[in-house]
This record gives sequence, C-alpha cells and structure tokens, in this order.
Amino acid sequence: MLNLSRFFGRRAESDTTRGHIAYLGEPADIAGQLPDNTIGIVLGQLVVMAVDEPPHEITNTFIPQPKRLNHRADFSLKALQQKAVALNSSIHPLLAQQIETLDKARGIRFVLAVDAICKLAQRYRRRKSVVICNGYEASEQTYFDIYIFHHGLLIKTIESMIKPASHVRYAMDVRQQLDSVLAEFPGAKVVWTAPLSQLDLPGYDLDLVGPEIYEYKFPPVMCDGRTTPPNPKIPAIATAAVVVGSLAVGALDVSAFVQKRQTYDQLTMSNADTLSAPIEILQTRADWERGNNTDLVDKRYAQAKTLFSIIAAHPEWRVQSISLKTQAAGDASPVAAVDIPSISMTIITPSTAGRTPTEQAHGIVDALHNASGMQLTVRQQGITTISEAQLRITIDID
Amino acid sequence: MSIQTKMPHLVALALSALTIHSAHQFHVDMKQRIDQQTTLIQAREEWNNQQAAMQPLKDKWQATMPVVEDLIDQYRIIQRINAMQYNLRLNETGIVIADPTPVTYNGKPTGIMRYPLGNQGANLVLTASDYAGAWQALKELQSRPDIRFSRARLENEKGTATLYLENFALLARTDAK
Repeated sequence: MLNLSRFFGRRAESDTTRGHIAYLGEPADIAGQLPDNTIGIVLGQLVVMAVDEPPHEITNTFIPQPKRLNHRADFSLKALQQKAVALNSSIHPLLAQQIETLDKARGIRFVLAVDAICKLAQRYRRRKSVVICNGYEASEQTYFDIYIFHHGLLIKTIESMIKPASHVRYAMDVRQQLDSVLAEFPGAKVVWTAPLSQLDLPGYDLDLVGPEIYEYKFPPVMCDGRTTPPNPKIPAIATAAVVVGSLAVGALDVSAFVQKRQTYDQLTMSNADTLSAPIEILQTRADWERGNNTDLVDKRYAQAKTLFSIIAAHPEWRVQSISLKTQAAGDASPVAAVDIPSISMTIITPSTAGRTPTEQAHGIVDALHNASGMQLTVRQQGITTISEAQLRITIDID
Repeated sequence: MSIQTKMPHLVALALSALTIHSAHQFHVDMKQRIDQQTTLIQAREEWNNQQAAMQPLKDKWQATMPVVEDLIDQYRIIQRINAMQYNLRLNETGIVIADPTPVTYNGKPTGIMRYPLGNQGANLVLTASDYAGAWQALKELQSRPDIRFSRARLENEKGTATLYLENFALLARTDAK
C-alpha cells in the first residue's frame, strides 16, 4: 500500500553529508566500483532535461523522473506570476535498471545534479540573469551543461559536448558557449560549479562553487528507476473516492432523517385535532369515574326496586319512603361519604293485636328476606307506633 | 524525498482528511438528529396510542358532560339539569348555587368543576306526580355522569312523591372544546 518511508524519505541515510559522493556522468560509471552507501550525483550523459518542452526523442528509452518545478521552494507571488513551469528530466535506462538493486543491496542512491543547481540559483534570485555552468569531465569529452535563471527561476538549459578538460581548446570551447549565451542575456552573472574543475576565465563576472552544493540539509529527490511511473491521477482518484464515499454516507443519513421526519409529521397530523385536555388529566378523570362505581349504585337501585315491588304487592304494607346511598365508597368527591346504610326503607303497616311491635317488625323482615334473599335489619329505634292501628318500621340494608 | 514531488499526495491527503473529518462530524450530527427524531416518534406514538385508548371516554364525556363555559349562570345551570324531561318539578325560588370547586382524585386534577346547588340547604328537592315516575326519574338522574348526589330519598306523601337529592352537584369539564 502506501510506503511511508518512501513518502517521507530516509533522512539519515540520504543525508549526503554523511555518505560518499560520486559523480556519475557515463554508463561506465555505474558499472564501476562504487563504495557502499554512496550518493551518486547523476549528470552528463545519464540525464536529459527540458524546461517546459516536449521530451526529446531520446527520452523514449530514458526513464522519466518526477517533475520538478523549475524553481525551488519559491511560492512568492512573483514566481507564480511568472507562471512556473515544470522541469522534465529523464535518466539513462542502464541507471534506472540498477537503482533498486543498488539501493537495497548496498545503500547506494542517486540524486540529479540539477536539483543542487536549482537550489544554488536561489542564492542569486535577486539577480536578473544568472548562468550556471555544470558538467562532467569524461576522458574523451566534457558534458557541458548551462542553466539560465531569471530571478531564481530556471528558464533554459543548454546541454552540449565539448573538448575534454585536458585539451588545449577546452577553455576556448567554454568561452564560445558562454559568449553565445551572454549575447542573449547580457550582463549575466556566471557561476562555475563542481564537478567541473576550476577554471580561470578573465573577463566574466564569475563565481566559483565547490562540491558543497551537493550537501543537503533536507532529503533530496531520489532518482526513480521505475519504468512505469506512479499514476499521477491516483491522489485525485483517491480523494474523489473519499469525497464520493462521504457524500454517500451523508446522503444515507439525510434520507434516514427525512424519513423519520415524515413519519413524525404523519403521526402528528393524524391526531392533530384530538387534544382537548392533557392526557394525564383525562386518565385521572377516568380513574375517578371508575372509583365512583356506578355499578354498585345500579345494584342498590335494583335491590330497592325488588323490595319495593314485594311491599307494593302486599295488601297491607305501604312504603312511606326509600333512601338510596348513591355515593360509593370509592367516591372521592369533596362531600364525605356519610356512614349511612346503602338502602333504607320506611314501611307503614297495620298493627296486629297480640303481637309486640318488635315481633311484627321481624315478621315483616323475615317475609322480605324469604321473598328477596336479602339481608335486612330493623334499625335501632326504627319501630314507631303511629297510632293504635299503625306501625312504622324502618329497615336497613347494608 | 522532497515536498515538491509529493505535493499532490499531500494535498490529496489533506483534502481526504478534511473530507473524512467533515463527513464524520456530519454523520455524528445527523445520527444525533435521527436519534432525537426516533425518540420523538416513540413518544408521539405512545401519546397517540393513549389518545386512541382514551377516545371512547372522551366521546362519552363530550356527549354527556358540559364544559364550564356552558354553565355561566343560574338559568343555564337549571336548564342543564332539565328536570322537565323526567316529569319532575323543581322549585327554583330557593335555589342557591355555591362557588364551583375543582374535583381532584388522589391529589391530582381531573379537569372537572363541581357546582353544588340546592333549594333546601345542600339538598335539591324535586316533586313528581306519582311514585313510579319519581322512581324512574331517580334512576335516570343517578346514571347521569354530569350529576352527583350522595343520597337519594324518595318520600311518598298523600299521592305526591318527593325526591330529596342530598349534596347535589352539577359537574362540568374544563376541557377546551
């Protein structure tokens, strides 16, 4: 998956101040003896470059490297206005083939010299034009590279092959190259860099720079030997996938919420008009009505009616009054339940000679009990003699 | 490795992290809203079920018990008792209507007001032409949900029947119509 060490670099290993530096300018240099943990500075015949140009035909066999911006770490408005463009570079296939094995087996890694040149150019970013000379001195010829910067921005590279450094015409070739460049960019600063051996060039505004430019404080970009470079669209595709996934999750959430909302709206709509009082009050009211026990009152009424019919059917007895307790025991109305019998009945009856009023009263109660099956009691002091002929008897049923 | 070449990766990583973070926030937020809504729905369903269970009683009360707005004066109170429909006669001259009091049950309100009234102290005295009619009237009065009395006494004197309803009160709901 994601190789983090590759992403962030192995800083300690790639610190060129710790390892040996070797300049690699020809395919033969790769085959030669390189000490372990060497940092190879790639230049000369092993690399081709183009600023904002289509690749050379030679790059068909060369392996493209990650694009560099043609300036380093310059995100100023000025640089952006100058429309920074990419530096395309490709490395020799022979080098590319061996990068991985050399790295894994012996810790040898490779850096493009052009990165150091671009970094160096930042020292001269206040100058309008700077011409940096770099190259590789082989035995048969010198690979001579000229980089032209405007305010630290790489605008052109010129790669050429000139006489070997030992040749008498070497200096002349150099001057020829420089003069043609300076004709185009008059008054430019000329910087002469390692690994080219130092050369006295009177008449030029010249700075000499040694191999310290290949020392990096931060891990540089390593050469990449992979013939199929990583798909540059992968970050975009991954981000798009994340966005789409997030949106999908969000959409599911929203639809779930909307559904819940609709359910709730339906629930509230179907019963919108039924609210007349809080449900707690209605429930208390229902409980209260149950406590009123109307069934009990109905039963008393029925009992009283039965007794009344029995008495009415008797030729001598007459009902004077009937009382019915209509408040049930569970009634919680403010009027206290009075301790009264459920049913009271006052009967007028003719008195019979030879029998005491109590005997007569109990005779009636027994008769009513036999007829109705109810338990009846004669009230205390409930027997009154109205006249010689009549008795009034009050009977209670609990 | 330089920051430069990995810039697209870093940007993608940052954007993805931002997106995932926002999406997660949104998801958590929506989850909370959905849970809230679910709670609301459950509460509302319970409420609806309670209301539905209460509906028959509510219909009954609607039909049988007046609201307090119906009992604004003596005329309407007497009209509400409607003694005439039971062939009962009510002597209106001595009627005293006490201040209504709320009815509570186990200390909780029932939303019912009690209007005590009587034309003989706390009793309401009604007369009927005969005993059987008074007896029938009593049955109907005591089954009325909007009328309460603690005891009914039926006196049979010289061919007229008198109905004494002790601690008589008319009930009315405080419900909204």
